[in-house]
Formats: sequence, structure tokens, C-alpha cells
Amino acid sequence: MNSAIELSGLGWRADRAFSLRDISLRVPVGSIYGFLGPNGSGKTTTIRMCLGMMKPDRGEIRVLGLDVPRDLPRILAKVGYVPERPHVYPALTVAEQVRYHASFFKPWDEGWAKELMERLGLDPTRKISRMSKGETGKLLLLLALSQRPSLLVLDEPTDGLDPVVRRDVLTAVLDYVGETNASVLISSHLVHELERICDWVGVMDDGALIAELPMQVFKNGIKRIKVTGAPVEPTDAPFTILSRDRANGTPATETWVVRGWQDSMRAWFESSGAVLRDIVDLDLEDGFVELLRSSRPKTPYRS
Amino acid sequence: MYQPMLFLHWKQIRAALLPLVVAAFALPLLSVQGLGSLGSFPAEPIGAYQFMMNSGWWAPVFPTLAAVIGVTLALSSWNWDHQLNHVYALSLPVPRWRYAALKMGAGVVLAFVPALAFWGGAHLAAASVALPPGLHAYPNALAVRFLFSVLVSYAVLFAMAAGTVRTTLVLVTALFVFMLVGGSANEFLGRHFEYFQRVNVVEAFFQTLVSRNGPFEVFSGSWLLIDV
Amino acid sequence: MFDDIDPRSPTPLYEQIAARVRMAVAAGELAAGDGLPSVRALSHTLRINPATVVQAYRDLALDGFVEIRHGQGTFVREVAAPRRADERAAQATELVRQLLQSAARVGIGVEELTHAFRTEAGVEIRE
Repeated sequence: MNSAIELSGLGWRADRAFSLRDISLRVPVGSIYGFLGPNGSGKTTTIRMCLGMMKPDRGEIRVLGLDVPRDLPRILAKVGYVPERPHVYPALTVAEQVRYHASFFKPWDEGWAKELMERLGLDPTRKISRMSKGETGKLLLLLALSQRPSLLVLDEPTDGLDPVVRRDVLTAVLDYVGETNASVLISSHLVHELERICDWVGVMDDGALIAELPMQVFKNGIKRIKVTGAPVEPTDAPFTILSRDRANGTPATETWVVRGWQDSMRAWFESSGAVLRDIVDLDLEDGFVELLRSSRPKTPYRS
Repeated sequence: MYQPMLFLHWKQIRAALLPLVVAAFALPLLSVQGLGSLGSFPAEPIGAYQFMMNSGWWAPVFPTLAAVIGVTLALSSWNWDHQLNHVYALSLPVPRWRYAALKMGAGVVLAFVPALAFWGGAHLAAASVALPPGLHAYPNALAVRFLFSVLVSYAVLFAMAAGTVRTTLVLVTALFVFMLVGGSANEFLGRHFEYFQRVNVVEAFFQTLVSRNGPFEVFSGSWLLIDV
Repeated sequence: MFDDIDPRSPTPLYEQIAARVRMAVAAGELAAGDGLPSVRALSHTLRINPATVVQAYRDLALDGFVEIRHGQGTFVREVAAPRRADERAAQATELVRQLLQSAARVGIGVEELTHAFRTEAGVEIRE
């Protein structure tokens, strides 16, 4: 088994407005996979399908080498899930909820649960309905981690949490991963957080997976370059041009945002007659925005 | 797994359980109010008559309470899961049938609580009156019937409570429509087909439910605490 | 020591960490026998994947800058003077390269740079 999650050709139609189209995704074992995409792009739906909560119209799903939905209980025993909306019973106290959860998972780490409770500052006697969003988020993570899962699926785990809690949550995840080599699928639209910790990134937009590659390649591969004397239609460029902006005033200088850039591609400029003036690195957030912009149909008021 | 499930159900039903237990205990006692010494005068035939009238009056109250307890158990089984859209339950590593079975098991255990209260009340009621000759009290039989009625109504409504509110509404509406329209439809069909002149489908349906082999048989039997 | 680590930079994080350690050794900030922060501690401080720290330390070990002692931690090795000098030279080259690149971006030539160098550092630059 070399994939923690493997989706092939996943498709699903909700209604005329939204559908998942041909999602093929792979989370390598032991990696931290960042699942990026704007709200409504289908991340949560895809995650729910991986966990057998929704049925796709077509496609195959394999999690931890087992088939969904056939081996679902076996899979769920090894997956720690932190959903978007909290799934804990509001009328229970923290301690009662932990005990309830623990009864379903055989390798439950009581010591780790206690340690996490202290580290995350959770009061076991506190009623869940009285807890803040941040505290509930921490509790969800405690429950997921104490199961000692082989795969952590975190759906916007830090959404709406203050920076202090976010750090607590992320360091707890990082500690666990460091100890156990567990795989992590973390979906978020907070790009800066993911930049630090993810080895892989998958980008979803409007129901399709528009990019999946190692984080480093993604970051390095998206550049903003200044070009003069470019041909009108650069047909044989070795990189993908995501956008072209013709600067006003200087007729010949354009700013291109390109994807898949490698340093060796400078050579192309010599042969094509265009001149490469400058290369600017884009951070993950900028690259992500450019990628999304380019994958959407052009709006009327853009050149 | 089972114990925390039981704890969870108990927490969900906690608020409603106390009044139900009190009612279960009190109802048999209330049913023999004022009958205290009527049986002490064996020569008075009116005493026995009054006992029977009283028993008959109270008889429908007990199965109603049993049904109410059954409904409460069923709704409280699934209430919290509904609030969470079942997401939590679906993420647990238990096959769905097993999860449902554990839940039902928890409810069955909780059903014994008001049933025991009823049993206690029935015995106390029977002991507190002097019975005229020819009449006997059947607290045990009544209590057993009560327990089974609770369990039957719980089991039947359990499945409905697990489904969405929409499925429940659909089922209940279908039942109502069947009851309202069935009679006239039966009459109409009776003009053309001899079978429907003999058989009223609606009546037959309900009759089967409470008959000897139907699921609701236990409700239609004798609910008299005091009988000949 | 690792305050400059920038996750947004295109340079991989493990490379940045390794480069920082190499520089620290070359500059004498870290002496032979000094211990580097544990994988867990550093991943905590920087909020990065522990695997990244592990990779940085492994690269450093392969280069001969550190020694990983299982169960005890990672420790700086004795690095010979010429090696350290090489490292410093490499760092200096890199700094100058970046400077030239930034200058070219805004159209500042070597002449102007040299002049600025003179005034700032009080140093003569030979052609």
C-alpha cells in the first residue's frame, strides 16, 4: 500500500449547478496533503465520499488500501476525522464525550488523550454546548488523534479559530505525524498555514481537481515573468501560460504568469525571439489565486 | 460500546423519564381510588359491579401510557443523532445495522424502568383494596402486558424515528389517507366486485394488526387489573 | 537562530534550514559538539512538518556538518577550517548574486552599486 487515499474517476452530480467531475487524486502514505480550493469547490463532498458518507455516481475509492464502501468499518477504525461542522453531542461534558468516542476504537491511547486535554487546555467537566468554537475544534482534534489513526482527514480544522488555537491544533497534528508517520489530508482555504506543513497539494475548483503536485514543485513552478518582444501566440512554450497582461505605455513588455516553470526554460526565450526581462517568485497564495483565475472562463471586462 | 450507548440514551430521555415513571406507578393506584372497602361487604352485589365498571373505564388508559412511553423511547433514541445529521454516527467504525441494534438494545433496557414502576404500582393497588368474591386481581399479567406493549411500540417506531422527518410524515399521511379514503373506496369497489361487499379493507387491515398474530396483538387484550 | 526561515520563499524549507546551520557553523556561531534543536522542538517552533526537519538534518549529516545520534539528538561536528571558509565564500557569492539581481530589477548598474559600497562599507572595489 503506497497510497493512503486513492480516487479514480470520481463523478457525482448534485443538480444542474454543481457536479464533481472525474476526480482522480492520490495521497501518498506518510505525506501531508493540502487540499486547497475556494468554498463550494467540492472539497467537503469529496472528503465525505472518501469516508463513505456519500455515494458517488461513478469512480473508485480506496482508502488505506481498502475499498469504500465494502470495507468501510475497517477503514473508519483507522481514520481520524475532523469535520467542518462539529460532530459531538452538545449535551455531554468533555469527559463523557471522550468516553463515548473511546468505546468505539480499540487502540485508544488514554495517556495521549489526557496529555492532549492538558496541552490544549480542555476542561473535562465542561459541557460541550457551553464551549467556544475554538474549544470545540480542539476537542474534535483530541478525539481524532486519540484513536491513533493511520490517516487523519481534517476538513477545515482551523476555520474560524483564533491564531493561538490554530497553532495549538497544527502543532498537535505535526507532533502526531512526527511520531507515527501517519498520513494527513487537510483541506483548507487558509493557504499560508498549508504552505509550511504540506508536502503535496491538490487544488480543487468548481468540482474539478485542477492541479495535484508536490508542494515544492507547485511553489517553484509558478512565476511571474516580464517579457518583451513576445510573439502574439507563443505556441511552443514549455511552460503553461496562466495569464498575460499587456502593460499600458510600454507596448512591448508583457507580464506573464506561468506554471510549470523550470530554470532551463530560459533557453526557450532565446530561440523564440522574445526577451526574458525578469522572474518574480510567487508565494503559494499568489500562485493559488493565479491558478484559479486562469482555470475559470474569462469575464468580459478582462483583457 | 454498549454501555456508553446506554448512557447516551439515558441522557437523552432523562427529562421525560421521571414523569413517565411516576405516571406508570401512579396510574394503577389511581385506577382503584375510592374502591377501598367496597369488597368488604360480600353480600352487596353492587360492589362487584362497581369494580368491573371502574376497571373497564381505566382499561384503555394503560395501553395509551405504554404507547406514549414507547414513542418517547423511540424519539429519544435518535434525537441527538438527527441534530447532528447522523454525521457522527456515520463516521464511527461500526456497521450501521450493528449501531442500530446497540441503540435498540439500550432502549429495551430503559423500557424496564417504567415497566417496573408500573408493576410496583399494580401490586400496591391490588393489595390496597378488598376484593369482592369472584373477582381477582392480575397485577403480574397486567405488568407483563404493559412491558410488552412498551417494547412493541418502541420497536415499531424505532425504525421510523431513525428515518428522516419526511419519511415519518409520508408514512403517517399515507396511513391517514388510507383510513379516510379506504372506506369509500371499498364501497365503490363493492358495487363491482363481490369480494369488497364482504370485506372492508380498512377494517380488515386494523383487525389483522391487533389480532392474534398481528404485531399489535398485545394492545388489544385484556387491560383489566381486576377481573373475574 | 532560525528566525529568517521563510515558507513563502521558493527555496525548499529543508534547504533553508540546512543552509542556516551551515552558515552558523562557518561563522562560528555553532561550535563542534553543540546540539541542534530536536526535530520535535524545531517543527514546533517553525510550525513545519517534522519530516522537513528530518530531511534538513539528514542533508547536513551527509555533508558532514552534523552527526545524528539516535535517541540523543543531532550534534555539530568538527568542521575543518578550509571547509568553513568555502562555506563562507559560497554564502557571500549568494548574497552578491541576490544583490545584483535585485539591482538589475530596478535598473541600477554595477557602477552605482560600487559607489554605494564605497560609501557604506568604506571599501575600495577593484575593477
